[in-house]
Amino acid sequence: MLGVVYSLLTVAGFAFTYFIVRLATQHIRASTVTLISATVSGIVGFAIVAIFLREQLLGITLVAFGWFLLVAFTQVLLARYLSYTSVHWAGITRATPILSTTPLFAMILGVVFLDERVTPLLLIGTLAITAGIILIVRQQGRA
Amino acid sequence: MRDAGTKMVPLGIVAALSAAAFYAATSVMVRIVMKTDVHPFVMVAFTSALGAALLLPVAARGLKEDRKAPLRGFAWAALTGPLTLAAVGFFYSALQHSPVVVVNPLVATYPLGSILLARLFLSRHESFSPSVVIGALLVVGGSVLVSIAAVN
Repeated sequence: MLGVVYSLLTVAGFAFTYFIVRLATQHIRASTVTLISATVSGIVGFAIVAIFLREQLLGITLVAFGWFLLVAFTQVLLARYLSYTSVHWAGITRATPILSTTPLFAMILGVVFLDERVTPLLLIGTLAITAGIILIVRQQGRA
Repeated sequence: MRDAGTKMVPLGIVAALSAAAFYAATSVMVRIVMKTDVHPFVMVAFTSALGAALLLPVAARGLKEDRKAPLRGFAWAALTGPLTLAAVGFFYSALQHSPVVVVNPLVATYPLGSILLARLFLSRHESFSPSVVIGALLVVGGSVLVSIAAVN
């Protein structure tokens, strides 16, 4: 039950985040929004770590730091910047459903690189996503 | 008020698809890092700070031009920082208390929350045609199915 409550709080957190990104990009550029967002996340994150997880900071290895750098490049510079840009350019109603197709891309990576199986459920899900994207793309109108 | 205009919609969709692909690649990397006993919050703190440093040269020009923008734009942007942290924190907590098969399909429904908020507060700026709404429902439903397929 607690897991479901946390899951619903996660849903609310991401839903509000993209809604607020839409509000912010009506006044400033997506690149500025991403920069401010990542900076504030970093400051608040380090404050939490400094208070509750100080011993973890001392144990960071050079290899772990290398991974952090790689994740920072992919997650913040590419994924977060592109997602905020998409919310500004395409609007919430079009961009956020497409952003939620991450599991599909993860499965494609699994099938291509890890020889994972293609199941009927995966095929049905993929078809639904493709049909949905076609419907969203075909509709022209306000961002 | 900065409005992107309809010409940017196709590019926005390409950007969203690219972002989803990069988030997928990131999730693979995060799983590798998590195996080394690094606490999620330590990773989020480092990756956010490093990401901001990497983004600075890209955002510098725009930042200069945004100087005269209304203050509330910057305030909204700042609010997304703790919100993202909270969402990620709740996600990891959910995974600690429930199996992935329950958590991932539930989390995949977050666009419905965003769309509901946009419908309530941004109806003049967003498109809510039946075609877009049905498309959004199909994509979210499909993502829930793929999430279930992934953990099975």
